[in-house]
Amino acid sequence: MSTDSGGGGSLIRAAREPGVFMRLARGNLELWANLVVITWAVVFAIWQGSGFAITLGTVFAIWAILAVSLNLVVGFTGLLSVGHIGFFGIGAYTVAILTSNAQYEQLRTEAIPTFGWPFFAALPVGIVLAGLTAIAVGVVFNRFRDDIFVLVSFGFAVICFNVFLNSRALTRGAFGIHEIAKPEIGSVAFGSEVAFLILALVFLAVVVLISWLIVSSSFGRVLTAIREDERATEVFGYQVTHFKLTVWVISAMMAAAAGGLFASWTTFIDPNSFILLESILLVSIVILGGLATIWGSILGAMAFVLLEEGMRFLPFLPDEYVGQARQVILGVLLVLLMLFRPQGLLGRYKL
Amino acid sequence: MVWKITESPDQAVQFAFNGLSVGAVYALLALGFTLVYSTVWFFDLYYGAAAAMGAYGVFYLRTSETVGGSHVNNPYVSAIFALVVAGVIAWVLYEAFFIRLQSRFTHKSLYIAGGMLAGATGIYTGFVLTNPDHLHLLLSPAVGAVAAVVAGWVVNRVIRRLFSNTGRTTLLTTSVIVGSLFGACCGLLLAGAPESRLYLSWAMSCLVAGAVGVALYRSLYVYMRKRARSPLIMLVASLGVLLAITAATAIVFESAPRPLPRAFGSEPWTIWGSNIKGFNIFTIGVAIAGFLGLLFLLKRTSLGRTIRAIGDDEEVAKVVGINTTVVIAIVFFIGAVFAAAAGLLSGHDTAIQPRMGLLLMLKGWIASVVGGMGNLYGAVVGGFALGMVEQFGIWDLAGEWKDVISFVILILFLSFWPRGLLPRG
Amino acid sequence: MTVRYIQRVALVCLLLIPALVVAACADEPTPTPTAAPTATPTPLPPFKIGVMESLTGPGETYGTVSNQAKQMAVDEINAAGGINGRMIELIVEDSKCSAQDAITAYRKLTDVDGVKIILGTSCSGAMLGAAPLAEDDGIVLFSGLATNPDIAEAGDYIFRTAMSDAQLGIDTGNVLWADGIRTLATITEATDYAEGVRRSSVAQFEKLGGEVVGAERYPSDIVDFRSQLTKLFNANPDALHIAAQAEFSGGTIIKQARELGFDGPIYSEVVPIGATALEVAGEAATGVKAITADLDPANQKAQEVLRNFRETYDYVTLPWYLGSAYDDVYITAECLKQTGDDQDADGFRDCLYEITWSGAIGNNFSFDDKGEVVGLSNVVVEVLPVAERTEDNQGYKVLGGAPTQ
Repeated sequence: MSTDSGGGGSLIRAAREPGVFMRLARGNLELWANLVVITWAVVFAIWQGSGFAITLGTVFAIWAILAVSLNLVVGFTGLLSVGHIGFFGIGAYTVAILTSNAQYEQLRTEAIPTFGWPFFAALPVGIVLAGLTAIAVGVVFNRFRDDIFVLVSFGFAVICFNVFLNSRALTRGAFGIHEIAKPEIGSVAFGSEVAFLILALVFLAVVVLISWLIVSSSFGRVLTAIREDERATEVFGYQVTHFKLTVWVISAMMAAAAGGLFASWTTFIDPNSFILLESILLVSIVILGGLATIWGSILGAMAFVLLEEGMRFLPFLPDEYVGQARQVILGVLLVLLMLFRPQGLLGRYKL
Repeated sequence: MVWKITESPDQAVQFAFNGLSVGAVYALLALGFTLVYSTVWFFDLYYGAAAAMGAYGVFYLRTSETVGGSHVNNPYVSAIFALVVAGVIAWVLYEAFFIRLQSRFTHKSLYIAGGMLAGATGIYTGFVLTNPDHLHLLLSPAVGAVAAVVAGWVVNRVIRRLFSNTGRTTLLTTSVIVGSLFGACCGLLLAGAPESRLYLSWAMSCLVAGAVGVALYRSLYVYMRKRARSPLIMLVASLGVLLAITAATAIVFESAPRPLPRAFGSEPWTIWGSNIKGFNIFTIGVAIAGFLGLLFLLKRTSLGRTIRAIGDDEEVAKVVGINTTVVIAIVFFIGAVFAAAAGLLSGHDTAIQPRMGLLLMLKGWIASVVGGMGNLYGAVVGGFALGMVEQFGIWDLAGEWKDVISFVILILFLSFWPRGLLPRG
Repeated sequence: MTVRYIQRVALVCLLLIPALVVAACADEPTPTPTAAPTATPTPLPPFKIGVMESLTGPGETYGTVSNQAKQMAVDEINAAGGINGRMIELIVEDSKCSAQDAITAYRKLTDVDGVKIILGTSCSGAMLGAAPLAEDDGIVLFSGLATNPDIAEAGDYIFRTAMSDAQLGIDTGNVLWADGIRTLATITEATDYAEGVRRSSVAQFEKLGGEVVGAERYPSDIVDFRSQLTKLFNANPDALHIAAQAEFSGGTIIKQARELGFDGPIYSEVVPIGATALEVAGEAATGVKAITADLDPANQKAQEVLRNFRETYDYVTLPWYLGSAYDDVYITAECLKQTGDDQDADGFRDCLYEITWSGAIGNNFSFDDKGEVVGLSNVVVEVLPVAERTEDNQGYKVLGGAPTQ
């Protein structure tokens, strides 16, 4: 609740006023963050040509869904969860198992049950399953707060990873599941990369819309109150646990939707996509973009995806270190943010 | 379970040995962790990075004896750690001497002297780090000096106890002579013993990990703690530290697992039909020694009392005149040394990889929750208990469920016994 | 609240529209300056060949070796004037021994670099990840190292000079039975390669009448195998069979098995007897038997390749796989000579089906209708004591061919 206006608003206002560049030079961090990331995205799309930009766009959309959904829990409700990747994995694995192709699977090392469902039938199942898991987990986790909550959410991520890895009869463990179906509606197939990008962006739009409806409703205001002072909110007669549980479940279901998209997009998943580290990276995206701001999470995801691709062009950095170098940068950014700007780049709430 | 154990006692004993060896590492981690947490009351995730750094420090200094790590010695890495050490030394000198000496010397001369001393230490550290093949030669003056000081101090105390009427000059001369002789002997012995390099590298990496811990505390957490509304700020910042250090380790050393050079005791001993390595027994010994040392520090020394006072109420401790910054820095140093020791011991036992820090830290975390946050007895009990439960838990399950078992235990404990087996008194 | 979000959406649209326009315009003018026709004959562009090897991760040792062998072969070909005057250029991507990373690398090679022929991958898991995509896109995937039996069925465009584990499994089962092993415990890395070895070995062993009394599997990143090994040894097996993807884990298992006091025979495949694995295991590895392919000491070509490799890179490990990767490049060069076009994947595929080749790994081998190599065989080797391991013998001695039933 500390800064006055969003990046978009200030940009437009800046454009209306005569001394645009003066204002730019004076340095509004939010404005700069917006400008730099979006310009870099545009430049990158032009530079790399459509093929690669579309691939990256899809990756971005999936990360953005995850980040926006996690921000509901971390930013708007104040529960620092590092276990979000578990729900992502549940969505991905449900879609993978339900759509897996019997013909291909029976050739493989360890037979798993095959269903051959279409994507759009499997995805809701995954979302519901993640929601149910979230209810079960949330009931247990509701009593924890602050750093203890972080600790148990670490645990949730580790447990999910191990379940994916070790339930071999369902997930084929470390071998992963191949040949996951592409989405189809009637005769419209989303086989091509462009079509898939559009589908992913539609999902993102829906997630953003739902999140926005939540945070701008009275429900969202109660969440904010919980974040600011849980005891006081309780005193006012709100069932705090119900509110926390509801937003936790909604957020988990969004993550599962992202997981389903991811599985279908890569056509192959194994447990390594759902390790604890990915979850930590996700939390850093949310904090980097800003707590309690939807646009910040989207921007954070964009910056995250572009950072890796941008670093591929650093001459002194061999390609195989790009992922690690990005982690170093993220880590350093997190430290700097916590020192100087605990709400994140575009955030409105200090941790 | 009892029935199972009677059915195949050999396997039970073997599992117990495995559990003890792993549990010793967890206990070490839990000890350091609980010390830090019960003093500052936030989770410092650098703790995990310290464990990895301890292990990789040994790898870095002993690459010539290690499989698959021929060219890791990197001037930039050495320079960074040299800088950190120099910074920490500069701050230590400032805290220790500045106020005492400022009446006798000008500020400027004190700054210059301190800066030069710190710079010299930094250069020395850098020199040691870049020439690991001559570790025993390079470190022998430092070890000799430390031995001299310690011996001199001991002689001084002994003489004062036994001959209370000795004159000041005699006392000083005797202790200086004996001390320097002893120090010189130690240094010479060390310089002629190249096989000591491995153990010197242990000490070196523990000290460096500790120095980084102090540096992080002094340069980041001090400021954050002044302003933060919740402990999450420090947690997230240290998460950033952990991310950066883990990734940097992977860049410098590759992300694949590596073995550490062979220490002593890799031959199995057969006891009751089961095998345990000598090194594992050593690890258990280190854990117990660390526990006793920490217990002595906290319960019997004035430093320990101040640490507990800060843990109970930092504001009050400040009011009664405790220099909390310095005391907490010492706590961070000790914590990081414990983590580094645990990391390198587990590295010698099995192998090292950059991600090991995060997992070890989580295990230390769980062990201290199980034992009871803030209780040293609890940390040891929790560590060994966790190691045992992990081993016996997989009797019927596949071995891969180990991590799940420990986290389920964590969640059970937090839900039903949040104060742990032995609650903080 | 609302106004601010509308403003933001507006902002995004505002910025995206010029971007799209620029993107649309940028696509057209770019070719004009570079592709301007000139009168002088320019040198022909090189053949672009993709390479996917595991340069990091569990398969880094053999991935690196095979990448270097390929690079060496290409340098030789280019130094000799290329293929009809055209050079070969390798575009290397790291597939990290995982299907996920193989898919990423594959997309990069095909989308960004536009290659149609890919040499790789080093790991079966990576191969099985990329193979369905390559088959759909009609892109040739040609591996020197991936051995999982499932790869045979992966499709028309998928080839390999590595022998399928189906054969290795039969050989392993026979060796076990002939050595008097009746009960076996297996420990296997959970990857497609190691699992393929275990599955086919156990199948043959059980067919002969043997019994598997314990089977454990471990994920690639663990370093402590003691609890699994304890459980296995509690069943009192005659022998332990190890199938590992990473040399490190293979060596560590051997070491920890001996530390736990197991003194029965240990059998394995090629990975646990690689140079790194033997160094990790040290004396514990002495006597370990492995069933693997090995270069024929009588083969002149093979010895020459090894010599050149040692001169260039100053070490040698896993010689057969090095030779296999090396031969792949020469086979590729031969087929490029015939088709003359690195974008003609179909022609290249047909050429591979026709070809009969003699190189470092054997004489007169060819590919059957599944893209599997035929005409090669395995041998049994035994690891020597540390004192007798040298660079030349790779730390083991060849006992001879595998027994047939």
